[in-house]
Amino acid sequence: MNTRTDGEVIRTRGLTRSFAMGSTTVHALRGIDLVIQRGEYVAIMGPSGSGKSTLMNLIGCLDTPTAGEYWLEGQATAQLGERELARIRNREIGFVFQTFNLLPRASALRNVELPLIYAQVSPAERRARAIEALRQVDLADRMDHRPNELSGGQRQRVSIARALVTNPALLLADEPTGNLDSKTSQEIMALFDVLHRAGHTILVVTHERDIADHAGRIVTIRDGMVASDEPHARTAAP
Amino acid sequence: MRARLVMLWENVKLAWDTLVTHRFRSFLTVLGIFIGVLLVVAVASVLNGFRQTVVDQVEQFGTNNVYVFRMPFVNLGPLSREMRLRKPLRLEDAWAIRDRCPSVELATAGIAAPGFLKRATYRGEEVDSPRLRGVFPDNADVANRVLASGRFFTEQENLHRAPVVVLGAAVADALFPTGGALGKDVLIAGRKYTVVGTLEPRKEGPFGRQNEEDTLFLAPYYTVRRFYPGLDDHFLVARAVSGKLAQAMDEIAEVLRRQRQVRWNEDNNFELGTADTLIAAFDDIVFAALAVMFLLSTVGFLVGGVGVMNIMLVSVKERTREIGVRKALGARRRDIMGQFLIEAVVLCTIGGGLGLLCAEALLLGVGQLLPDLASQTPWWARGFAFLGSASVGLFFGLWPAWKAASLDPVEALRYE
Repeated sequence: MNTRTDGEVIRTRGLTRSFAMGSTTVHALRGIDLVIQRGEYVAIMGPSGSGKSTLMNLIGCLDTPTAGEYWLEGQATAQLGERELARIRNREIGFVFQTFNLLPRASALRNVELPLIYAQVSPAERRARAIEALRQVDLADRMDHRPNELSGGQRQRVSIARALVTNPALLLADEPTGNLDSKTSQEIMALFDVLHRAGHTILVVTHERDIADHAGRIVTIRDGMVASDEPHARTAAP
Repeated sequence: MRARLVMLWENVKLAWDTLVTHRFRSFLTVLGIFIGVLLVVAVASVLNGFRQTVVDQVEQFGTNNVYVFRMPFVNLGPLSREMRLRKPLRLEDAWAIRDRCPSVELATAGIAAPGFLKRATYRGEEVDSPRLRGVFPDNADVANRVLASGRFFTEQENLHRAPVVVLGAAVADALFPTGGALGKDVLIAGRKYTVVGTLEPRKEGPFGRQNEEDTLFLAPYYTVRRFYPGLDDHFLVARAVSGKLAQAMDEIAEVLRRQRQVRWNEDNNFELGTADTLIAAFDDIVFAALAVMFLLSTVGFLVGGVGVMNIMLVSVKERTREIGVRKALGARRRDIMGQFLIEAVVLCTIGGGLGLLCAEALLLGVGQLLPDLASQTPWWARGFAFLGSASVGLFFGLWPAWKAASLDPVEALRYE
């Protein structure tokens, strides 16, 4: 599915992020070095307050680091302006949120089309690609439904379709099963497994061990630093 | 370019969705703009209709006529010393214009009997403060007067100072409610005149008022001079050869400057008017009224605009999370800015459009009830309704849109 050549998708060096909280400074990240190869399935784990959300925001180009460097697809992003970051979020990253974050008044199809609108894809092509993405998550028959007419699992599948539709370099999922029951969680994780096999690079941020178990590599963050980074025997069905 | 248009269209659809979702709130928001537009369009339509009746009236006299006055037709504020000291226009001036202006085919003069005349009577009927004019027979021609009965007086009657009179339609009705005016003797300020003709009514004046021409008593010039020898302030009318109005005006000005011994470095001490300049002078008044009204409607627009800004700020707050999502999916600042600006513009334009519709419906209804109130919605009022309200949206939407566009995506996504 992913037609890009092999290589590094992500490389960070000394990635640091601190926030000024009144007179004190909070160091959320204290120098993260991380390399993710194309086709990897990585889980980032850590207790709350460990800095894993901050790391995800930086990797997702929603935030800029205080210090350190970050290359996405070989492109240095630390110095990029707002426009370029928006373009990268649009083309290179597919976000999957814990709370789905679908637009409530728009149909599933419209929601999936949204990134393509900002990519200035023509309406006809937009529709075709959105339908194709919905087919990948098995929801083509539900495309005219609004989010409130869909189950939690279906909503998350719509949001995965929205993340896939621009054919991004990286799928970035933040606690993708946090709002789902365990059965639906398994369905969603199975879908991630399928996408991984299809060649997508996936980064899942979670604090649940059994979600992380789907990944081929687990990075643990503690106090803003990488505490462990090791390959992991995937428990998912082959 | 195409991509921009597609984006614009997406945003308009989005704005429309939001509006429909919050119908009532949206309507309350644009109430100020709605009322502002309603007022502007209604007043502009009435003024424009008013102006149109004036235009019709003036043009009924003929568009090739040049009128000479001692004072400006419309004068706002006190007369200057120079104006007060201007010499009266004389009968000879009219003949000079007739004889020496090649582009003038007809020139005539008239005189107004003093305004203090008590009344005109016939048997039991009377007209207060009759307006008696002494004119030459060709006045009928110059002023496009149409006879309803009888005839206009002749040059013979004029030269012999015959006490005859032609009645305007309104005074003929007033003195002879049952008709049959011809040949009767009417008393005007105690003097007896024989009616030789009556005139067709002229077009009604503004707001269905009587046309002043219908209230005239027209008597031969020399007759009036005989009864009122002290009168010396003439009004002159000249008719230009068709298509030579501009030349005629130049020639008349030249002749009058010589007649009135105006030195080469002094301004004219008389005023020339044509149908066009009379209308233009009237337009000054209309314009002043419109300017005042625009000022008032601006207040409505400002109040409405602040309301729009307020509701847009609320809308931005409510949709903080949506903005975060859009940014995460690749919306640039300008995309978000455009989305909220267009929402404000669509909101205001719909408010303005509704105001326009209501105004037109209202005027239509009033027109049915009061046919005399001639209203006519000018095209620029329609344009103003749309452009004005759209620019209110653009202006007052700017800050909320900027706030939305400046939201930090991380913060926005975390917002509950």
